[in-house]
Amino acid sequence: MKQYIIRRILTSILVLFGVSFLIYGMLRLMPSDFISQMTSGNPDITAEQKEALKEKYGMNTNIVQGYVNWISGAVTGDFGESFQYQRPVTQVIGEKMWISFSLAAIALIIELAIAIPLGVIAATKQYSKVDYGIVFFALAGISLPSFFFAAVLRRAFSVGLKIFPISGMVTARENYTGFMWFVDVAHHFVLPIIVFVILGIGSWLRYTRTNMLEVLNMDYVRTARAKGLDERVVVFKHAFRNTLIPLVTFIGAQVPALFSGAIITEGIFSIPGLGQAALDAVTNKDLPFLMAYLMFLAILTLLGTLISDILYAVVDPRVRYN
Amino acid sequence: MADRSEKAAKKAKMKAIKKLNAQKYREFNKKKKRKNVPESEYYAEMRDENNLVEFDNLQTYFYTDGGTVKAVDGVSFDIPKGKTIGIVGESGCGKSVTSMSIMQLLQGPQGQISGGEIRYNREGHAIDIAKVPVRDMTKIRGNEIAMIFQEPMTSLNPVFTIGDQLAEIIELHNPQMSKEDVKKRVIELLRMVGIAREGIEKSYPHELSGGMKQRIVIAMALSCNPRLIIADEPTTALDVTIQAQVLDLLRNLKDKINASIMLITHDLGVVAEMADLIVVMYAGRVIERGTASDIFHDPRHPYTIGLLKSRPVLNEETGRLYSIPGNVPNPINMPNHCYFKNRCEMCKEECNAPYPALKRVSETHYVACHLYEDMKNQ
Repeated sequence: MKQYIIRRILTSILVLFGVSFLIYGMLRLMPSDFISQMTSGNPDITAEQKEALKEKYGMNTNIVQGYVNWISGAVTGDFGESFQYQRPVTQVIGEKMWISFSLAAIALIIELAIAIPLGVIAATKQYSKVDYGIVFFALAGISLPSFFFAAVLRRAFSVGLKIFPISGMVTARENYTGFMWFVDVAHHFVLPIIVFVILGIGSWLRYTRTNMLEVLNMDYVRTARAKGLDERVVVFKHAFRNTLIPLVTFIGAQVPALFSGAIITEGIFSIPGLGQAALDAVTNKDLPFLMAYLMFLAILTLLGTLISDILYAVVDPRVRYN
Repeated sequence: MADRSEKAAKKAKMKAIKKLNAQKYREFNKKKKRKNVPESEYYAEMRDENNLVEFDNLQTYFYTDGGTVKAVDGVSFDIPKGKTIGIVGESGCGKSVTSMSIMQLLQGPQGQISGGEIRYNREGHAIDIAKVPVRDMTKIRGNEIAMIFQEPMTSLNPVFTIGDQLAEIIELHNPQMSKEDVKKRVIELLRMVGIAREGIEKSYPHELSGGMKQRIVIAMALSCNPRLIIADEPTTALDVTIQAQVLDLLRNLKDKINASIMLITHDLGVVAEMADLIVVMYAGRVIERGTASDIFHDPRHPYTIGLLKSRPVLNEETGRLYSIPGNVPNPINMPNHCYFKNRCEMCKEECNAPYPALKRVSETHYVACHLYEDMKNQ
């Protein structure tokens, strides 16, 4: 197992080099860049000044040269300074990451807590009214566009009932600290989390239901019934343990999504998370920030698959690595 | 126009089927989910105290979208105490469905026992299994009636060790047993089925061979000393040497715990070796039953005769083996005449008459065929 993990990490590093070169190349090939955007509104700027700016921001190189410069910094942990924030990108990402993560992680836990039991219930009562109701709810959630649903929620709860704040993460000009700050943030997080949960629950639910249905038709479930076990034990012990196997791998694949931030939802609720920052970075052509952000996601993706592979071996005794 | 009305008629028919199915599902579900049913409600009287189980006009139907499939339609036979009864017939004739009915393990909500009785001579008082609600059925399953399934490769749960799976059923039906006693019993069972390798109870099913898995399944079925063991093609998935071992094992164990065996198979060799009594089924009905010698030495029904002709015999020079022409009829909308009529080589004018009842050939031998007269009066 240990050997397997080490081997996986070593190959991951190779993959990361490839990924970083591809991303850098594509970002540099994008039409326009930070300098031309900055200077485009200013007719007085001269070619020399542009050159000087390019040199200052390290954009006067060709792609290969630029990549070598970037990577030699990156391997020592120096990802450069963000063009738009004028601060080290690692610092910016480090701050915003936890906002996105806390939102996504809370939402994921709630999603799983609701979706898995509902999926199991739907599967055990296949083709009943309960099943149809649950599946309808799941499909409705999947089909809802986040911007529309968020707008409806804001109209109903913020503008109409005035229970929840309309946007932002903290109440402006209150400068809460300590516990009050926590309560204030939680209050602001309620609506975005509802959006995440309702939209995300459907796929988990349907995934659980499908897997459960498949497992319930297995011979070993019939064996469990033939032993005289109570139906509850049959479903929640014998069938559920097997349903968990694909679910756990799916959860591992969610790791990058936990940190990457949700561009639309964060944007609508004006939550200063990573998703919104990434969108700003794309429009502003903030090359160092985008590089660091995308590499961060690439690392998380590789880590996520590794975690799900390890979890796979934990829940399924048939899987052994060496 | 004709096309359209035909389509409409088809649609109406499908709607009627759906409606019937929904109504049946509700009805059966309600019956099964009942709680706190007094035992006296499903008491029954055995016809003969020496029988362990009496199937009496059992009807097991599947309410599918295509219509009602009468998988088992009016099956009656007895399982005497301490005897082995072989159920023979080709695939889809209702053998397995009969056994699933007595365990109440039919694939719901489609499969349901729609009529008839399965009288089980329980200690204390005989009961009708067809009426027992699921909650009470769990005390019988695995404990008094145990089943060996036909697919050893998939019948064990892949995520639990075999020791855990064996211990589970012992703990379930013997809650007074201590952890150590259960463990001892697991080892004892493994030794009984001949695979008591050190530490084998800690293996997962995928670490064992097919024959070993089948032995585990057998050990599981025997763990609570059941009074009836249903073996649904216990040897089909195994190679010949293992087959012989498994059959020997079953026979020895049966004598040890004095159980009855209901052996379901399409392998006539296995039946000849094991069974005291034989029931031949065809398209959901019993077409002939009798002692093993009745069936093998004096088969009466043309189907049974065909079956016996279609197996290889030692020391006999033959060309191709005989095969019965045609196929089992579609189980939806069965004809009213004998189901075997269209494949039968001895078919006569009378065979167009309604389905023949079981007629007595001798004290033990019965056959459902128009070729024979009821011997009752002679």
